Amino acid sequence: MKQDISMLMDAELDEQDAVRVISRLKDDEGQNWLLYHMIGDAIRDPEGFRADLHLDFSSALAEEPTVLSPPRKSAVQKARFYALSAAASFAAVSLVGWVALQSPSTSPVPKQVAQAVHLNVMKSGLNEYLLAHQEFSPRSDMLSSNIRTVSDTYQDSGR
Amino acid sequence: MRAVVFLFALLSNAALAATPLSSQDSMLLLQKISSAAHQLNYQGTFIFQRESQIESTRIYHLVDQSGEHQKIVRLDGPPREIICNGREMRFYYPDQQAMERERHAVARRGFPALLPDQLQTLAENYQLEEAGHERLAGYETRILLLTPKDGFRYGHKLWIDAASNLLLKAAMISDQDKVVEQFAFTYVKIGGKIDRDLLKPTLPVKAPAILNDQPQGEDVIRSGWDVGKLPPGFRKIAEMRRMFRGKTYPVTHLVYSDGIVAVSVFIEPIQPGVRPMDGVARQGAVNLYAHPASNYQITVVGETPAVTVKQIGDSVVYRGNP
Repeated sequence: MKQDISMLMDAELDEQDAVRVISRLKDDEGQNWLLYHMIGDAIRDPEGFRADLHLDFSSALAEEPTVLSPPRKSAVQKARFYALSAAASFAAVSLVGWVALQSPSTSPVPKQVAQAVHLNVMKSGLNEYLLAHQEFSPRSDMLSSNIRTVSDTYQDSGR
Repeated sequence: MRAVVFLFALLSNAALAATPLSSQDSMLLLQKISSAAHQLNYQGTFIFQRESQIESTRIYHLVDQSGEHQKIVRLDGPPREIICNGREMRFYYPDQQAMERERHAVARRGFPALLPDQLQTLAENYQLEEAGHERLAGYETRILLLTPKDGFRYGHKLWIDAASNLLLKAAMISDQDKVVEQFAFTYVKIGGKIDRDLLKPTLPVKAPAILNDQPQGEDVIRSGWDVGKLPPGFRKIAEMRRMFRGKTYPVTHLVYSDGIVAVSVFIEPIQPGVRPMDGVARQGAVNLYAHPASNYQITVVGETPAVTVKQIGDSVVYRGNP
């Protein structure tokens, strides 16, 4: 699985394998927990993550970093976990998207990833902020109006 | 390395084709683009591309004695229509369920008029030039290039119909010469009469009207919040406290602009039992940075590179009310 994640980050998987890995990541809370923590570390330094992100991930995976995984979840902890995973999955999938899209290969992964990103934006509730922000973009006003409004709510109804 | 090659290519292209524009001329052109979009009759189909996602949309835009009328029809995915008459905006759906799923409190208003000092700001932040002509969707266009002078913003390439000043294509370009987001007409008819019937809804379920000039639950304020390390060229253009769906408390919303794009800062108290968000995410040209600062969740959203939203988010301070 680690190898798969690493390959996913490097956009080396074909479409079928990528879907399989992504769905396993989704299913497996433990892996999620580990992955989100490492991603959290990586994105705290966004200037650094562009060039070397995949290296960070590969070495982090190799070293099996210690993560704070709650051994037994109380209701509050569980609520916190879900609050975090909603936010983290947005960041996580987005970062996967970033890496895949940066890659010059013709891998079919980006399409899958792009959809996953949008789905998670919706779940996180941040979409309200994205829409509220759009009202103030001078650029939006030049393009007549509502172009992004049409687009932004697409993913909401699509799934 | 790619960036260097790109820079070289950009410079050599610029040397061949581009003519520098004064900030006055550029601003005039930008204002013409904006008014053309609102004052002309046109109908057509455009695509909106964000990363690998492309969507097609049909648009009808008509201006008469009673004002501006517009119908936007989504051609991909689940059907939806948006109809604007003057300041009223309505969404139409194929059925009740579709409406419930999609209901968003989308309030829109015109962007506040660009101030004279923003004219100078634009020229301070971007190299403005006219970069030749190109035929697009059957029209001869002028190309306006806004090349950023620092890493805090994306580049813009605008294709403008030479006769009417309607914007026919627009791309935002990263420092690695990647198009991060673009919009382009594939077919458009500019001017002429447009049948009013074309602007009637064809979908049966009507969502409640949204009035553009009556922002609900919004309150223009001086919040006492400020950005300590604002990237060069950005100025505050709006400050308000507003309600959001799913939140029981008001959120402070600050907006900054460099004349062509905006960055929003949302500030809210971290709720008990909620783990604060911390991280960067991206959607097309839009970068989002969430960061906790003492008891507050800061969320920054902008059509800028990640570094810009991060610097802004990391330097949000409460200075108190004067």
